[in-house]
Amino acid sequence: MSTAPILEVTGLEKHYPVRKGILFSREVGRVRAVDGIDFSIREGETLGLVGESGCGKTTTSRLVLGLEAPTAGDVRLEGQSWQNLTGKARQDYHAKVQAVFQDPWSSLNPRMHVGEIVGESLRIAKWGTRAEIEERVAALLVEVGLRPEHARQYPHEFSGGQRQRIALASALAIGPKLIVLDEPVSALDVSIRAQMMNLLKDVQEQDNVAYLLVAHDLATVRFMSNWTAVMYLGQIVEYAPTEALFENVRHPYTRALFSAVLPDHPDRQEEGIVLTGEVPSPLDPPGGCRFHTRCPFAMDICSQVVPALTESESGHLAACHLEE
Amino acid sequence: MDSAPVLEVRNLHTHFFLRRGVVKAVDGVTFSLKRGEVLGLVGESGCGKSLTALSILRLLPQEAARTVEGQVLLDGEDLLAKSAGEMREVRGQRIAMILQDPQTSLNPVFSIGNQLHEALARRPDERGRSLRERAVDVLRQVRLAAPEQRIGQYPHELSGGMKQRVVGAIAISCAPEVMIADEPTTALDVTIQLQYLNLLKELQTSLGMGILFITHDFGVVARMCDRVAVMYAGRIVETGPVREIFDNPVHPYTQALIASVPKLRDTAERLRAIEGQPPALSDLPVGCRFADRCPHAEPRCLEKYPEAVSVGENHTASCWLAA
Repeated sequence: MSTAPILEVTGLEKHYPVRKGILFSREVGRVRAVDGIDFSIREGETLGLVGESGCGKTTTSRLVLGLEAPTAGDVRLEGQSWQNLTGKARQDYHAKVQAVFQDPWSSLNPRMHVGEIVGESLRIAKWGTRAEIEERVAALLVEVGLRPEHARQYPHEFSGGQRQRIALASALAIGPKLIVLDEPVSALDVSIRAQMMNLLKDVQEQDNVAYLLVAHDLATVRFMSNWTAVMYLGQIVEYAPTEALFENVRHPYTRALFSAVLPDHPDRQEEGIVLTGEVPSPLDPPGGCRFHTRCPFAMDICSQVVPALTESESGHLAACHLEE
Repeated sequence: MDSAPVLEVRNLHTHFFLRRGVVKAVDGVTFSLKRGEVLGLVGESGCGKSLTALSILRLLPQEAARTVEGQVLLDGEDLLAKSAGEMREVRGQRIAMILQDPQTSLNPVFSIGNQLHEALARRPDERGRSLRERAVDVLRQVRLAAPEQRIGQYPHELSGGMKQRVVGAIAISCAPEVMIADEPTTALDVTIQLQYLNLLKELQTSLGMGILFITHDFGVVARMCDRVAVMYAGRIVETGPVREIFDNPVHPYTQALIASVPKLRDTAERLRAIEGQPPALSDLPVGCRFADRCPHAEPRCLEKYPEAVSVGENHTASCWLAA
C-alpha cells in the first residue's frame, strides 16, 4: 500500500472573476472556489473529500478531471501535469482519469444504447476491433452486476441504481488509474445505495483503481475512504487517514459536521456543536481562519492570522489555532 | 399521547389510469396522526409516500390519477367528500405542506412579504395587526435573521436554508392542525438540515401541530418522529413507536432498510445491501410485495398478501413470519 502517490495536487487554486459592465467590463471581485489546497492519492486507495455545498469540492474534482484549468497550482497524475500535455498525450491523461457523476439521469446520453455508452471511450481510443470492443463491454457489464444483453437497451429502460452501474462500467472501460466519484450514491434510493457502495469497493479491489470520492455524508466517507479531507470555503481544514480522523476529530468545523450527522437510533441524539448561521460567501471570505465567523471557540487571533495545517500524530493535519 | 387522532387515513387507494394500464401507486393505506405527534412515513422513491400526501390534500395530477377508494378524516370530516371550495379552506389553513425543494415552492417574481401576505390574508388577525407586522412576526418565529429586511427581498436573494424557513413561515402562518412535510431537508446541507429539523420540532411543540413527516432517511426519523409507518410498493408494511421500530423491527424490509444504511461508528467492510428492485406498480404480485427480495421468503408469501398483525404495543407488521 505504501507506493508512491499516483495523483498529486499542490497549491491548487481556482478563482472565478466576477465582472460588471458589458463594453468596458471590469473585474469587481473573485469567487475563490478553491483557494490553495494540497493532497495526494496512492494507487488503489480512496480519498474522501467532504464539505458542504459551495466549499469547492466539486470544483476540485473538475480540476482533477481536467475539465477546467486551475488559476494556480498543479494537478499531476503519475508525475505529469495535464496542462503541459497536448494531442495524444492529453488524450491519454483523460483516459487515465474517469468520472462517475451524481445524477445518472443526466450523465448518460439518452440517444445512445448502453453498449455505445460503455464502449465510447474504447472506440475513441481505437482500442480494438468492433467485436473486441463488444466483448469487453459485455465483460464490463457483468463486472458491474448487469447482464451482457443490457448493451442493446437505452438508459431510460433502467432504474437509477442500474444507470449508476452503467456509468461506472463506462468509467472503467478504458482501464483508468483514478475515478472521480462525485456524490455517486446521493441520488440513489437508500436500499440501492448499499449495493452501489459495495460494488465500488469490489471494483476497486479487482481493478486496483484509485478513487477521489466527493461526498457530504460522513458515514459514506468512512465506509469508502482510506483518507479523508474536510473542506471549508475553498480550503482543506483537516486531512488525515480516515480511521485517525474518525477516532480523533481535531478541527471545530469537522466536529460540527459530526454533530450534524443524524442519529442512527432515537436514544443516541448527539448534542455537539450546532452551528448557527450559514457559510459566508466565497466572494469575500472572512480574513484569518475562514471558519472564525461560525466557530464557537473563536479567539482574537482567529480573525487575524490564517492558521497553518499542522501535523499531530502520523499524517493527521488540521488548520486551527486552538491546537497551538 | 392518547388524544383523538386529528388526521385519519383509511384504506386509501390512489391509482394512475394510463393507456398502458392501471398503476396502483397507493393501494390500501391506513394510518392515523394524533395531535402533537410526529408520524414518519418512510419508504423509497416510488413507494407511494408522496402520492399519499397529495391524496390527502386532493392535489393529484388531474385526469391521470384518482383516489378510487378510502377516507381521509380531518377531525372526523371526510376530506374526500368535500367540494372544491371547501377544500380550499382546508389547504394551507388546516393542513399545511412543506415540499422538498424551496427553490421551486416559492414564486420567483414575488417578494417574500408578498407571498406571506397571500397566506396571512386568508385569516383575519385577532389582534388587529397589519399584514406586514404579522409577516415579520412569523418570520421571527422561524428564526429568520433580520425579518424586516427580508420582507422586501425576493427568493433568489436568499440561500436554500433561508428559503426553506420562509416556506415554513408560510406553512405555519395560519396555525394549521396538521403539517405535511415531504422530505423538507433533502435539498439542504447537513449543518443547515440539523438547524431546520430543530426548528420544526420547536414549532411543532409550540403550536401543537401533528406532523406527517415523509422521508427516506432513518436518521431523520430517529431525530424527529414519535411513530413510524414504513411503506413499500403502495402499502404500509409496518407501523410502530419509533423505538420499537429501531430496536425490534419485525418486517424483513424494515430490518433490511435499517441495516443497509452505513453507520458513523461502524467500521464494517461491507454493507448489508437489499438485492434486487421493488416490483413495478403496474404489475404487482398477488402475494407479499417484498417476497422476491426477502431472505426469509416461503411459498405462502408468494400466494397471499399477509394481513397486518399486532406484534407489540401499537406495533403492527404485514408479514407471514410475524403472524
